Amino acid sequence: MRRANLWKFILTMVLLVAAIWQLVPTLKLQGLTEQQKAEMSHDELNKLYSKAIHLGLDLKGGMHIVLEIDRQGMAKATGKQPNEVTDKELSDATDRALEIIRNRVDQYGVAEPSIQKQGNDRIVVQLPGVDQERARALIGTTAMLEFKLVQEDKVLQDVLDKIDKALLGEKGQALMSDSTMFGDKPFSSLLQFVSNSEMSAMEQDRELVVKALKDPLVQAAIPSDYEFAWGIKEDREGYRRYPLYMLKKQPEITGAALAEARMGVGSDDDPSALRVDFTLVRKYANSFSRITAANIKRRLAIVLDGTVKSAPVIQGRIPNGSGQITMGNATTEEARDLAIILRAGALPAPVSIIEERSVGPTLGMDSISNGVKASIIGAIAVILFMVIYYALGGLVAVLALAFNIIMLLAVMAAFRTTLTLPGIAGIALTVGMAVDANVLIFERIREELRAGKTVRASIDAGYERAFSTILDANVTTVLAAVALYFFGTGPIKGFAVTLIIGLAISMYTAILVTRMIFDWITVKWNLQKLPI
Amino acid sequence: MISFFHHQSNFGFIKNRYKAYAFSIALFIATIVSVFLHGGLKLGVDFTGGTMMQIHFSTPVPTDQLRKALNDGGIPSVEIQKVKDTDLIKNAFMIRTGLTEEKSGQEEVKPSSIVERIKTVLGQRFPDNQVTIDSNETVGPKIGKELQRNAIWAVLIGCVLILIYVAFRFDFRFGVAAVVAIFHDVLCTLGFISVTNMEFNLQSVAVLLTVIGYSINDSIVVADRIRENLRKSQKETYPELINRSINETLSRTVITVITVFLVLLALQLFAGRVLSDFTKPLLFGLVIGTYSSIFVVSSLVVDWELKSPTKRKK
Repeated sequence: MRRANLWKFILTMVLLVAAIWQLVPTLKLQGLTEQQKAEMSHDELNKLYSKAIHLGLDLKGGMHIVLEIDRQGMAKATGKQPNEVTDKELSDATDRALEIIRNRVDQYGVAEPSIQKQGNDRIVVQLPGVDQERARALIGTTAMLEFKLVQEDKVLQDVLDKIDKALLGEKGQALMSDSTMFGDKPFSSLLQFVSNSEMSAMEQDRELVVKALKDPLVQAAIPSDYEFAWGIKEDREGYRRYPLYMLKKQPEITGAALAEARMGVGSDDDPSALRVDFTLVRKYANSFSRITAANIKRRLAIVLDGTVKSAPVIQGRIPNGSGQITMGNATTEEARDLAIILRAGALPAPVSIIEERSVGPTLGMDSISNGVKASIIGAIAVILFMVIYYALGGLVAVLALAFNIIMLLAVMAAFRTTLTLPGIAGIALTVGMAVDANVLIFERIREELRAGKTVRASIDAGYERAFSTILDANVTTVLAAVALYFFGTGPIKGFAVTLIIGLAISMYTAILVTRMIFDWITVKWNLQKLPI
Repeated sequence: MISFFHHQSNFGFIKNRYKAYAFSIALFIATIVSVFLHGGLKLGVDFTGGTMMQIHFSTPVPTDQLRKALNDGGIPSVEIQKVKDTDLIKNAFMIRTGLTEEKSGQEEVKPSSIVERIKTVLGQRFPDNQVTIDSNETVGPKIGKELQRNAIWAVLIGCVLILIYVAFRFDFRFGVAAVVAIFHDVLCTLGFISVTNMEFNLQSVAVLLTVIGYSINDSIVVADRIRENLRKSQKETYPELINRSINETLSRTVITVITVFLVLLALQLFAGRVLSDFTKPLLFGLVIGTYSSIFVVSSLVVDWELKSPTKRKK
């Protein structure tokens, strides 16, 4: 072996060993069954995951959510007009929201979550393998907790009478034309009264009540310091009803911060009912104590994001700032998640989900197994074709190709880039493109051989002349991939990444490595004819 | 040793260039007619906003029953497509629905709520048949517009980057011809997407860029050979020289297209639904890109040369 070749050989071997070393965690992880994974310690498994090739959400299953801070809601929360909210304020609110969401996700317990700010007012959340509905509630809930007094008896009755009267006119009739029970009380006839304080709407009437409450006529009839709010639906005696409350608009305590929130079980009338027990931080606990003392026998509504979670009657002064939210017919998960959300705190402004992409674990598994299967079949087809068409040359090209793919995967593992399903297509396409380099070289060598040059001279000329073409061809493809990388979304980015890395490596493997093998073979066996 | 073509093959590519032009123009017309008949490209939810989800049932459900259930449940503008069974997922459907701004009751239809609504509707209609959501892509209208803009930028920037490179490496006329070929390939691939009634989404943008990269790649190989032959030969006429160059690189062109085709075909046949939307137009674009670099690019250069000859460089 020539000296220069020896160095190339050593370098290649070192690279190969390093590449395989990088892939060990990935292979180990693939070999583990779910059971073995469960038996491993958390740290050990995490270490393995952090060193293995990072799979995209489309392969391992998970959610990608883009949240946007609601400018209007932000204005409302700070008491400004929407156009008065500065970009700086919006950006700060986004930062705070991000911290709170991170806190919630951490407490919920998701492996490898990614939460990032995007632009000024957006947050991108990526959660591998989670229950979609729970995750949506977990990150999308504002969790603004307020305490408001419920207005009952005479005042309530007066307001209801006013609303009824307001709706008696022609406009009101048009509005309430869907109502089956009209009469002289178009509004309050839609409601059911348990006592003179607790009212609710049956499911079929709810929509109409909502419509009426939004109408300017009705709005005008409600005194400006009061508002109506819905409670949580109740299923009783085969009917579904929605409690409705008239609340004092000014909260007794607003945006209360909690020192503690925990799920609990049991309420006064149902020992199996779920609830969330909470304790206010000291500052609020003091006002809570004062308010409860001043309003004994009245009902205090616990309002979460505009919905009355519960409205217990104050039996006496509550000194330590503790209270509870009864959860009705919620599931354990919902109660547990609400406790997490309350503990982590309220978002500074409401957020809305403006983009969501999720893949279930089964489809992810399906995609991996099919993608890998298809790639292997494709690779075998290429190998067979190359070996049949180019004989020895084909064999050399295939060796280089295998090296290329090992390197590509190793680079992906080392630099923590993400492998997505289009990324697998990118690898497959790299196979095609890497082979192209060898095809160019081999066709050249054939030409040179036909022109009567010796084997050595033909190889030299073949590589030399094909090089600039290969470089041009790869550069243009990489340029297209770069554009995709910067403007594409998650999975498509994965395609661009594998294509770029794969083509870069192919410049080494398809040119230098094959050349080295040819040089070595021709010298060693002193070939006079080259089966190519 | 196997060869597809004799090493002195001499197909008259340039001689037949008018047939190629006619063929390409026929493809353009087909594209335009198809796009027109379909009322424009069928844009995916990435661009229009809306929800696209794959669900599967534990026991089979006829498509029309599913459609009726969703219509009765008040899900706006639903499109349903049966998905081929795989080892892990059976009785699966793709459901696509628009996001409408209409309000029902007090709840506004938000990107997130439509998924839950579909789940509730299906749960009520098929109580004994478990529904699993395999995937869900929900894009708000605002994001849809942004993605549209990004896609256009991606294609433009990609083209400009390639153009700059080509302009440095090749002579002006060849560059222009290569650009014409790019538009040719993009247009034909769009035509294929339209004719087969596929959606145009973010993946399609990746397909277009890959086709562009590949087509340029092929043109470069031919162009390199022409440049090399121009340096050496003085005897031939310009069309002859170009025709010879195409013939000399023909073997490479065909072998490369075969290997890439094999790989993509394997993905198309075995990789499942998610990738097949990606590989199908790519397969077409690959063939059309190869065709254009053989028949279109050089032909244009030849016609240009015949009309206004440049001084041949030594």
